[in-house]
Amino acid sequence: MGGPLDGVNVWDASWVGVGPLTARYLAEYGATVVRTESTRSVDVLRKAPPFKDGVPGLNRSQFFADYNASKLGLGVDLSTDGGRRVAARLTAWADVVVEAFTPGVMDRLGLGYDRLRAVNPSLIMLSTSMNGQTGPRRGFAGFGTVLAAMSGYCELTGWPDRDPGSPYGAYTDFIGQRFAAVAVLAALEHRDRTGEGQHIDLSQMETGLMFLAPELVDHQLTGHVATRDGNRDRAAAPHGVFPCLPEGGRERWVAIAVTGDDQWTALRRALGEPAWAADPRLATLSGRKEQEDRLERALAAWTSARTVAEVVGTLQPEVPAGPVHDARGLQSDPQVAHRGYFRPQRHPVMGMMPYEGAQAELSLTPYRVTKAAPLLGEDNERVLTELLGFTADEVAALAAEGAVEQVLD
Amino acid sequence: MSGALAGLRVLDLTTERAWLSGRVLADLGAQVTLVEPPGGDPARLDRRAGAPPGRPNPAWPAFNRGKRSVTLDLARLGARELFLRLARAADVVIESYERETLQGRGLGHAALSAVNPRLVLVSVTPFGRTGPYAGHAAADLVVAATGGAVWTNGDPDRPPVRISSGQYFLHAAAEAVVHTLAAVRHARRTGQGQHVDVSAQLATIRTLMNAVPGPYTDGSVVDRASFGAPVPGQPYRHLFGCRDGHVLATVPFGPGPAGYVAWLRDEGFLPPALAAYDAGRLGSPTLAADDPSFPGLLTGALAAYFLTETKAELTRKALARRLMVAPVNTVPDLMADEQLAARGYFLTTGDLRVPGVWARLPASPLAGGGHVAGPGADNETVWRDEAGLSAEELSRHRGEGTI
Repeated sequence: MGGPLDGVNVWDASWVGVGPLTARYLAEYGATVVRTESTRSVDVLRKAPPFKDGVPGLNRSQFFADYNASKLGLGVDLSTDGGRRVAARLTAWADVVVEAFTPGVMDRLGLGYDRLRAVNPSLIMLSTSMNGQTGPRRGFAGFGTVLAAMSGYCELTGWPDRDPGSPYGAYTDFIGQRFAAVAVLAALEHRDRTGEGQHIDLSQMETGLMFLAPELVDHQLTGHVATRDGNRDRAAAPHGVFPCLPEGGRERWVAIAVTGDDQWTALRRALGEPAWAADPRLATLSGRKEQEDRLERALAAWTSARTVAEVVGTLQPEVPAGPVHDARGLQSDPQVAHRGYFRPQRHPVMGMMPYEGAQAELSLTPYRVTKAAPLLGEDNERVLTELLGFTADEVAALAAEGAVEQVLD
Repeated sequence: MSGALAGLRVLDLTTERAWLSGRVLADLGAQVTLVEPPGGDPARLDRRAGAPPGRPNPAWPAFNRGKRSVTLDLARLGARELFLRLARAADVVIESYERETLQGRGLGHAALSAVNPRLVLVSVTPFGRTGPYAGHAAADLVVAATGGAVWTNGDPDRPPVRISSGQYFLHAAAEAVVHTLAAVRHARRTGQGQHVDVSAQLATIRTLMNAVPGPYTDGSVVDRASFGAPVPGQPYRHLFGCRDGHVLATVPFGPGPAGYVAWLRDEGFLPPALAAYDAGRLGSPTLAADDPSFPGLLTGALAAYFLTETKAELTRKALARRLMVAPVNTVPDLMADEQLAARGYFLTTGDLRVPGVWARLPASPLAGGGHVAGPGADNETVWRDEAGLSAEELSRHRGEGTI
């Protein structure tokens, strides 16, 4: 069974997070994706941990590798004459180009959409950036960690009596990648229907704010200003993260969320109707919110004497509860294992490594991790000859003038 | 010009967890029809403690704009046949019920594909429809925790925290649209629909960046660390107070420490201890590694200067110097943001401004209309004109409380 994107050609000229992750979706539904890179400005993820066995190297970062699975690697310096010849062939070959530079960079490289469209009139190009291709802050250069602050997520993470915190990492990237993939797939539908390509301008701040839409509307309806509140929730109580017995010398925590009065009743029953939960005023959300400090202390006293598994086993399936996993916990979680989320692939330098896989199962056309990430320029020969149609002499000339690059160790 | 998905027909059976999916499809030009209980989905209203009766749930206009609405009580006898009439003409059905709900009503994937083999059924659930947690009760906090997005956040002296706003069903709902469009493309090419089964837990894991591969790559595990405090191995802290809140400054990037020293000098905030560095000793951003006292001096001076400026002014000045400084924006800041205003990001729905134009597709622009349908507003059109009910049948179903 072929993938839904069989026959679609993608030039991934992007780097770091959103662009490569967007192109990876396309690769795993069957598109042929060529990722171009240069040693002149190496993707920062190739230099970011974790490195296999803790040993740094351009082909040893699993951070980079995971975002670039299932793609072919072409090492090319697009600022050289030879690089421009390769870019012209890539443009003619591609259905979709993905780029993620600060607005203006592609134009300076001579690779702006108008130039590419002159070569390939039905081309779809995705430009993803912090703040978009227009407006007073279009030149804002950055990455998702600072965008999490600009987009409201730092203000909304942490404790009300302390300074803002932050979700871990480049949080907004993982909103942006989903909308970016949707935009490209929608543009392919439009192109199939009309023959028309287009240049998609995606601002990661604008996609990030989609996930705060209720807070932005709530402010207008009620005047409420959303801010960080530990683990509390205005529509639920008790609602928190509670300590359990340590395991393996590490602290352990469990999340418990009572989101309705029926779940409160179920919690009381699961706990054996303890005296601290008997107050009839606790039967309603407003009653529980009034006594939330006391409820959290009593619940923490109960969880502290138990393992995470005992707590979850006692509360589920009636009361929302689950382990607070660290990264090792994700590896041993039975549900994650059941869904086959981690997909092993052999990488030429790192060996067999798990790759993050599908967040959705499709009954007919499953998402497929087809290969490990490419080494820098690993597929030069195949891409230049089979896909782009350069002759052996032309390939040799490109190599001789330093336009194509390769790092294989 | 029309939307990229013009002609795509979607039936939206979602609960609040996945309203976003249909909103995104409607933005792209699909015809999305909410199917809600007679009288309207109770989740249209604000159910938080202390909410006055009748106040809308803010997520309703945010995520249900641009959709049509029909009413149908799926629990009633006869509702199944009525729903199958709609499903015959649909391309996509999206739902986020408990695992067994649709099947229990005779509307599982097999039943739907029997009447329409091209139909794509999309299910958004906390853990996916199969596996040991498939029957577990969940909430945003529980999905965040089991997906690893709680462990990494917060201060070491307190429990780890989630983002104080429901996020992880939204990740699943947006993720669902990616796979829906892949399945729609397959159906268009082959005539075969399929079942798309989305797990919010796995969508959460995808947000954890390089924390995920740590254990199997170099043995590392990311634990929470206070955001404002210095991070071991990183000489520059990120968070600084300013006149009206906080900003993030990422000193090592772009022009690096030299750029910040020049900024302090130009603003008249360069302390004597740093003046020497301004005279050419700042060769590279790695200077900090050579001189352990420099980062402390620089961040101290920046802290003093930043307290005299607003978030907006610091962001503007840093942008002109190509330094990476971002405001810690609040909700009111976001509503007033000049960049979002310049790009016309917010859309108007009644009196409300709602996010918004999440991508610019010039050949097939996102829908701009701000319509939020009342419950059953499209009953006549859909049940009579599209599903072919006679006036008598529609009247009878209304009388019985089915529609």
